[in-house]
Amino acid sequence: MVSSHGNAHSDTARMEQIITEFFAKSVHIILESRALYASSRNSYGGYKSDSSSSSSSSSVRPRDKWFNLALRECPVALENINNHECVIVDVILVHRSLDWDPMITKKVLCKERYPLCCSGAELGVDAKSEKIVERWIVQYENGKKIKNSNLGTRRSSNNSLQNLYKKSTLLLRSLYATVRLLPAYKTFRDLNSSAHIRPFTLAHRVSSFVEPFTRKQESEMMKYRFTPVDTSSGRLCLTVMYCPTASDLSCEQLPSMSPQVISDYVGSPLASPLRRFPSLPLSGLPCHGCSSPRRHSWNFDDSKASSTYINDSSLPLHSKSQILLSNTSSRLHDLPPNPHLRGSRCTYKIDRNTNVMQTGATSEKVFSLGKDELQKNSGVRISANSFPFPRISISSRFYLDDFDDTDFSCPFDVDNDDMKNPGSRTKSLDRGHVAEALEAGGFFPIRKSNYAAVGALVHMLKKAPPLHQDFYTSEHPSVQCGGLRLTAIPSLRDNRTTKPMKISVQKPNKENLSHGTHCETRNNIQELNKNQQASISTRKTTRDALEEFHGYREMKNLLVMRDIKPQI
Amino acid sequence: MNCEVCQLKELELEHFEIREVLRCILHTIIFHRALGLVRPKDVDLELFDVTYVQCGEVEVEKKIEEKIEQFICWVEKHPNKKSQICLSFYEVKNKQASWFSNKIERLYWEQWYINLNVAQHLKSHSSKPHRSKFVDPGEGALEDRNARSAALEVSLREVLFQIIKFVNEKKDHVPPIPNLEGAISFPYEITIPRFCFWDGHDQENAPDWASNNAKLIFRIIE
Repeated sequence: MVSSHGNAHSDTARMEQIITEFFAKSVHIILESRALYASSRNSYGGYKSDSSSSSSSSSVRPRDKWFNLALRECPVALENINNHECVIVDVILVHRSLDWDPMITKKVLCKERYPLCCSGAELGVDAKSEKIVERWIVQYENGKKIKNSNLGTRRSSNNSLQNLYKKSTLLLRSLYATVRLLPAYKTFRDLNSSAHIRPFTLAHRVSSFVEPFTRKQESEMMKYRFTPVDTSSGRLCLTVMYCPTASDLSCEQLPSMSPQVISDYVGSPLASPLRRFPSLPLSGLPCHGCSSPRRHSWNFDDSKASSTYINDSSLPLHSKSQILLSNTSSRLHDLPPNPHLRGSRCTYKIDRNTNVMQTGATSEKVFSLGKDELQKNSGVRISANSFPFPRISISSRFYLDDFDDTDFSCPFDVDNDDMKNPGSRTKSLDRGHVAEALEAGGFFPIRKSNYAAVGALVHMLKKAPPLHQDFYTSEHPSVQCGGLRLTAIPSLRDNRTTKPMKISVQKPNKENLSHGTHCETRNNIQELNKNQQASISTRKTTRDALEEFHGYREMKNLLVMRDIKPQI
Repeated sequence: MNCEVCQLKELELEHFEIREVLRCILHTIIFHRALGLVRPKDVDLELFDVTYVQCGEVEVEKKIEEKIEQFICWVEKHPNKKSQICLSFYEVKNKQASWFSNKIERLYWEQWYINLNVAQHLKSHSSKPHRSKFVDPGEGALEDRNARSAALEVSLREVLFQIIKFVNEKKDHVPPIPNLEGAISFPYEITIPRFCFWDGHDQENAPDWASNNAKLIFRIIE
């Protein structure tokens, strides 16, 4: 009696264990091929088709031996299965809205790990965007005893348990195959492959109690009931309700955004150096004379200046600086092109020489951080003014150290401060260097804007020595002409006339005036022209042009005055 | 013990589809009958949007490939004919040693009949039918092929569900799971069609014949 009771008790315990493990295994099979990111790195259910699998592998876990079915790791499936009478697994298709938030997707994915408390509201998405595409019901119906049960003997009890185990194994085999034949598996594979970015995702919910489907929902779904497995005290039932067509799963209807490999990202060797950012205005490009609008560290065919970039900095820093360059440029798109470009280039320069921007900070931050160092080390003055972004004035020496490019033919060294605050011009520039460069007639390898050039011209003219001091030389012959002293100076070729023009006019001298006549004036002028042609220098400058202009004006005034006053 | 027989739905397919279709069906059946420890292997068909499961045993895969090749050879020799492949599961009866025979008696408890109708819809310049897929079919023929392929995929899914349904409904005839190493619990054999040696001529109603006689004949010939 005791032994029979003990045997019965053990048989009951074993049966309950089989039922418990059956629940766990069935949920594992379902979630392994429905729960995104919940399984191992293998994107497919089971094992990869190209991997050699062997049942004699040493890595057989205890739970693999149950029903002789070794599955992949699926932690989600092992959680929160407390009820071994009814487990319902809902597979939900969640549509993302147009302005979907990645954080919501994160919530969805997190909820997959804790599915019992999962709901539409908690997912953070509109309930209307959810659709249950599958519902799996694993159930143990108590009290329905098998008809031909013969539990009297131990042998029959063993047979019953073996039979139960065998049939459960067969049922799970067919469950495993069925899961891969239903339409949701394709959706799962598409989403898990991570090859495409879809506007929907799959979620799941494991619970013991759910709201039944409405009639409409039920009419849209198909139902398949696996043949129940009878036990001594009930039966194991497995049912699935699923959407029969792929269109219901929106696999093909919604457009997918497939990620594209950007081969010409900033910093990539594949990027064309001449490629222009769309945010940059056309006029924002450097002025003529520059071989490329942007310098890249990888571009060995670029100008010499770019080669120094490579030597000086490591690649990541270059990448960051280039990115910052582009970011700065894009933010400065509403500014006048020249200061905009200058600001961005100066940003890069600072990066190279001071390593201030290693963290990829914005230009303002960098400028504020490295302001003192810059001023001390590189002769850079950072001015924080009403200008939207701080501007940097860089001395000529600073640039000469780094630029070996002779393509920069603009001869003036001007910075924005000079344009904005003419009074502070002397402070911002290294006057000595500028003066030396000007006198030598050398070139500053700096690309300057037109505004800067005009400003520089004005400045130079104001600082230039008086014109009349240089005129009475052999290079500038002068003749008396009608009481006027005319001096030939090299003049620019005027587009309007090809004749060299008289420029310098002196005030009438009493001695000269007493000898001059109109004819003498004309002859003298002709002689003057000849001399002028012989001695004229081909080098014309803006200063000369301006001087010529002044000469014309004075001559005009004198002629007007002469006409008015009687000739002496 | 009864021998449960399952006649699967007939599939119309072309020569180049034979391999994939047979692999899918045979592996699916064996997976359901390999009740030893298995690590399931998911395989995607190349020609169809179907994923089936293999039991993962190398020997099983090798044997299936062998039989498929034999079947293809047979199809090439007998074009445009309906054919049948039989997958049988049996138990080994105790050897009965005798003076006349030491055959191992097999007791079949389950048989699966895979019915195929291999058709060649396109004329090929080559004598070998398996090259027909390389012939340019033309626009209309291509559409026909696509339609047939889609229909075949639907039919294949139906066959797979038929297998699952049969496995679920018929469980009692399956012998107890032996305590054996490996995934394969029960011995099996795959027999290719009954090209009849009965009277030296092809039998017209060969698919309708019981397979036992043919298997015996085939075994003798081998």
